Amino acid sequence: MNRFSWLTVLIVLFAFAGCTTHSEDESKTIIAYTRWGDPAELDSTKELIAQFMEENPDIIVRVDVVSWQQYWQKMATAVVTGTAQDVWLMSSSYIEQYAAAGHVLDLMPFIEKEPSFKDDDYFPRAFDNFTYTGTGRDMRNVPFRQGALYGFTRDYNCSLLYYNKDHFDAAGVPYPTNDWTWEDMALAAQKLTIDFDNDGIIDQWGCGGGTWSTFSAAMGAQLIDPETRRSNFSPRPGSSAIYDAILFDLDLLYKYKCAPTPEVGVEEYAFVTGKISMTIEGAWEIRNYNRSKNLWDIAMVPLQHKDSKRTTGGGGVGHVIYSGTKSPEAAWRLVYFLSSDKSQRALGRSGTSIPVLKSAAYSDDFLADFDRPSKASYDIIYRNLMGGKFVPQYTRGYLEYMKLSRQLMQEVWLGVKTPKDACELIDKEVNTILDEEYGEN
Amino acid sequence: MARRNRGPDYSLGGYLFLLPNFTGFMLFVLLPVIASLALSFCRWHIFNDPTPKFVGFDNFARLLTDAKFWQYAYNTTFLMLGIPIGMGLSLALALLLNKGIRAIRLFRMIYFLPTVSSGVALLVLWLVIYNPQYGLFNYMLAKIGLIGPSWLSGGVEIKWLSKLGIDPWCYWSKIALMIMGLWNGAGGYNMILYLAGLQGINPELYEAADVDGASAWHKFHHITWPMLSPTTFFIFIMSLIGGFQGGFEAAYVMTEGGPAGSTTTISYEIFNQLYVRSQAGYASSIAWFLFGVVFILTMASWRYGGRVVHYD
Repeated sequence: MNRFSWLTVLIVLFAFAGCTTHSEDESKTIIAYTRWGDPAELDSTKELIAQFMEENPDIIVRVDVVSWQQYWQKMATAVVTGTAQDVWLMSSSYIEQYAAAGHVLDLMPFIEKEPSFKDDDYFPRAFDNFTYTGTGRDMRNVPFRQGALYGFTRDYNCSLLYYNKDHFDAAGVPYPTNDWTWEDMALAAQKLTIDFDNDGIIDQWGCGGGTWSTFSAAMGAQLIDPETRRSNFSPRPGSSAIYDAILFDLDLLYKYKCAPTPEVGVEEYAFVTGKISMTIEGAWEIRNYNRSKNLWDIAMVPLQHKDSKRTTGGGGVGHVIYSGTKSPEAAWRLVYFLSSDKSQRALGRSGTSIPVLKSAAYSDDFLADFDRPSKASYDIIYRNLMGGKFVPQYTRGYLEYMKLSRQLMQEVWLGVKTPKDACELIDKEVNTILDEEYGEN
Repeated sequence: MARRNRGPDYSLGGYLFLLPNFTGFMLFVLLPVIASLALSFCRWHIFNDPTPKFVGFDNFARLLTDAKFWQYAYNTTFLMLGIPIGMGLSLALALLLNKGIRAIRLFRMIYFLPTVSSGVALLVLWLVIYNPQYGLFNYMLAKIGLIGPSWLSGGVEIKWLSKLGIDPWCYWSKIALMIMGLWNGAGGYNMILYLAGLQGINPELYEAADVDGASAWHKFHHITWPMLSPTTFFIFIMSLIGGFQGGFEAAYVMTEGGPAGSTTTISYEIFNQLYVRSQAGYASSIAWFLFGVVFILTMASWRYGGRVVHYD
């Protein structure tokens, strides 16, 4: 008896420990929200969510934040096991996959019931990357209001040419202009590539390399033809922008010798440390680049020729509602709140994303905490969002074939493979991935 | 007969104490293992296929003809070349730390430190050490007049290897990971096992050898090494198993399996097939193939390795 009584007490204690927490919140709706991000973003998210709960006292939101790398492993497991959160952050590169599998809700019915929603309040093309028609394999990306909307866009992103003004001044090179061509960039970069102490080791590189996909996307090239779902890396008559961009990247390394090869290897934030003078990166780096001690500014991403046409890639990140949610209405209120003026202004302050809501992007809150880029060049960001033909970039398996092509391109930068061989190999392997993703094998 | 009078029966309590662990094992180890065996005979794209579809041995047939897979198998085996070197280092350290010198505990602790440190923190530390510009490694090489390569992203062509038809590109990344593994592993559990083995050797054997005028080398060769052979054998088998399953952390944290797939090992490929390619079935079949290889090699080692082991 004695022996077992202790055991019984322990078991009973454990059983009770499991059910003490709930009870107070019974009348409230509890929803879970998850996003990727770094610890800094966790703080701002918690602040926003606290505001949301103040405005909606009947809803309790549980937040959790994971790093980008683990996020997709977590979400894949969560949807397959039916345990995903009610609302989560979604990238346009993954939406088709999740939507086709039926894991996220169509948001159009919610939008149609929302009296305050106006299309013109958002940047043009903001919702296009999340709009699809059809189901399963036949799902196709269409413009907003011509199909189901699977994600409510939270932010827009664009690539920018960041340049270190101090380096340009010191070398007496004129600043980049918005009509720069690739060659203009290479020639300036060459002048900025300097071995200060003549020890044979370059101390300052003109630019970073490996930006072929940004170069080609700015001119409307699609890595994958969304109609035929075939890889587009090898040059074809009339569309060689991707191949040309790869050749140009290679020229930066070995012809102009103005970008560090993988053999040299510079750190990830070489632009911040002043090791490179120009870099092409997404607008989300503004916050990080403000850690630089140098004065810098931004310009449009250079195009191949003077007469090349610039295109735009649409909104980047949005919120989705899990199709297994028990409280779709509460979930929608959270989603709509996260793209409302209040949240969008907070996003604009963060320097990690560009608000999709125009009023927030043009407000004084936009990048308020940062002194770079200069106020005058905000217009470059807006021009990226307002103008140009929209060319969608995403299909299923996007991150998969991006990873594969990055790996194979590494062999080109190291000089093991010729660009031609690499592109043919990429085409072959990417097509296999696409077949797998669209179930055509 | 006597059994009845032995007092209260403790076995129920014993089983109850086993229960939590056993339940956990059943739920989180045994069931998934069985499920993955079943999955390895199925095609299951976790997004596109609503349920797994039985395809027989298709996954295994695909695996045998998958050139990528064999490249990763090669990478895994290549990294295992570090095992004998690591064992030698562990033994050498154990011999040194078995001496009756001052502050011996302090030294033992220092060498064991990497083992009790957080694995990811160590990998991040090594990322900095291998930085081609500011890293400690190339700095030390520069001190002796060598220009170090870009360890984790560069490569060098070894012409005579390509003539032999072997991977013409020796990526520094493999060597780098091997060196790192030696540093982390030499003072780890293997050293502890060797230390324990050394302390288990009867000192009378050495005394007798001293009387006979044996040199240090003779004592090592004829007493220490044979007496340690069961330990050596155990460490070898465990390292072999660990080696086949290894390489995930370094690939995940440091190299993403690159450059050009040169540090992707089988275990990292399993992860990629599941979480990047969404192929749960194929990932499982690779895992079971790996299990088969490890199983056969371990069996073969027990069968034939036993001959070189001296049991007291």
